[in-house]
Amino acid sequence: MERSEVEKEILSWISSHSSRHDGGHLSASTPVLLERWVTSLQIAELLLFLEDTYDLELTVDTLKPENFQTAATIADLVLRVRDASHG
Amino acid sequence: MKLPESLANTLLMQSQTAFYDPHEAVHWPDDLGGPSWYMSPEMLSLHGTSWWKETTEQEHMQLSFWEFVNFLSMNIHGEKLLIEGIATRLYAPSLPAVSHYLHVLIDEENKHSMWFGTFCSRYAGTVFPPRSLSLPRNDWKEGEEDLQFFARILLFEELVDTMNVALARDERLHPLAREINRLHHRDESRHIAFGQTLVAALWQEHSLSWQPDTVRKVAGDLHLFAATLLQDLVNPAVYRKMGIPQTARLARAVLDGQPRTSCIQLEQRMRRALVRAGIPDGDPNGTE
Repeated sequence: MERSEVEKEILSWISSHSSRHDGGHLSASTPVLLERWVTSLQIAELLLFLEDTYDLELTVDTLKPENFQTAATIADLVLRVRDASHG
Repeated sequence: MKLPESLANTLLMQSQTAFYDPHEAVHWPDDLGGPSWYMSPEMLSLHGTSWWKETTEQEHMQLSFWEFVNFLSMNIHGEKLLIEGIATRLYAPSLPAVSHYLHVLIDEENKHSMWFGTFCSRYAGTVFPPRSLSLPRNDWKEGEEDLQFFARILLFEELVDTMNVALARDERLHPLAREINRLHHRDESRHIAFGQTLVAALWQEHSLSWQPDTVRKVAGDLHLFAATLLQDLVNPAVYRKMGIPQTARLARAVLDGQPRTSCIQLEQRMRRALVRAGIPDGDPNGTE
């Protein structure tokens, strides 16, 4: 699984689920929580997307804001958890 | 602002009359006995799905046990936020008249959590963790933070109380499940009466000074929050306990599918609570 592909899929999910319609620029380094591309009310849905798409289980110790700051940090989390669970 | 001081005093007296020892209120058997229902089958997330049709009644009962544990876990996490938020508002200048009743609220919610935690720990060996992130905000409009807090508590209490009433009445359920729901409802009806009046007062006080865009967004946030509460009733951790594969895919399919009648009724109850408080149906794409 390529990191760039994971980032792209995460960005696509954020873009299609965000309530921001102000034309702001979204990239892998955009602070998506700070700039409200993703809100606290969307986290549960994002978790299901990640767990389903990448076949992993995100435990409570991974649910920290720093893991969800940007599409890049979310991709890091996905790859880290996937590597750990798939050896 | 016209705070519901007289209502708070009435409810305070009722709470004093109904005061109880949580250790004495529930009898906890050593084990739960054989297979039984813990949630009404029609309320279960997989009711009517292909999984349901391909499995036995005993497996449906097992699912009802884990979904009851999930419901109690939701209650525990919801009440933790409630207790924390209420504690920070004790004797707040913005809520001068109701602090004594807030003490009672904390006491009663803590008692409920003791029951929920005892059931989960004793019979399931676990409390399911929350699937949420708490993100601080520093852009509240005047009065919005209190309004959002108490309105979310009201929505949460409407949801759980509606379920409490239905589950307490359902004679198919294990007596302990019915009893926990009955006892919870006994206190929640007072909490909802208080919350409904307070939220209406806060909305009336503050929304008039907000721009129409803010009013729409706040209302939208609250309707979105109601939707996320319903999502919490569908938890992949439950399916893992059942040994069902591809739990997240199944949870997404359930959430994307035709809403169950019980969920539609719960959503209507929460929506009505907001409308009763004067909060309009808002933009479903809220800001929070």
